Amino acid sequence: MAPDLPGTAAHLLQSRRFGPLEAPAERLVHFPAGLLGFEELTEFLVHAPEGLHPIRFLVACADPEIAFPILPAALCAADYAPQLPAEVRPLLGAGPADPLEVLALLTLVPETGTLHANLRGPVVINAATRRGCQVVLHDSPYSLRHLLGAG
Amino acid sequence: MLVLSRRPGERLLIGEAVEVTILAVRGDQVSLGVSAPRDVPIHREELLERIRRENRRAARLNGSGEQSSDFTNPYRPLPYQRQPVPTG
Repeated sequence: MAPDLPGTAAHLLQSRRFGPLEAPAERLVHFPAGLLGFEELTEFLVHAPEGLHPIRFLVACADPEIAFPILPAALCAADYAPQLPAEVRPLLGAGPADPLEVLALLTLVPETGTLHANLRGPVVINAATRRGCQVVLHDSPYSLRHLLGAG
Repeated sequence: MLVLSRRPGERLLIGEAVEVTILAVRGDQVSLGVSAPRDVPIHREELLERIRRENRRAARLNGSGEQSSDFTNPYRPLPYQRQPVPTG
């Protein structure tokens, strides 16, 4: 294997869950503010494991053992159309009409064994600039734990 | 922590761009008005904490079905989980 030089495109991440993961630049997303509670992790690989479509994972480059399962929020709730705060588009380098991916983080509630989607704190990614952020929706009807089904 | 006493109608300035006005005090509730530039996010702290907690849960959800480390074990008790979290 070629030495892992800084700046090479196919940087390799090692994860016990996923094994070795190629991390080409085009599949990396920069989160300037990290995710809430994980502010120190600002680079993520978008990993789509086989057989889990449409679930993907945001794998932290600095610590690949940390990975967040994500699902397009529109698949979780058909009428999902949150009003994004005004600071989001400039932060992601997106113009008013640029498309943004809105994703929900998935959680398993062990007490009930149920799978949930967080529609109150969605992750928004601008694929064109490969920048992302987690958005906090105040005064919103969407649930922090939208029930998807039994896990 | 800086502690200040203010009356309804009085203001606080934080830096040059953030202005907090005490609008009303009723019983144990204070109404605040906050003026800040559009790029300054303003959050209710308790919602941030709930999202942090959900993020920690999400990080523990294991895509492979293995529970190869404590961090990925969704059944590991959460250290900060002292009471049931209301849904909503």
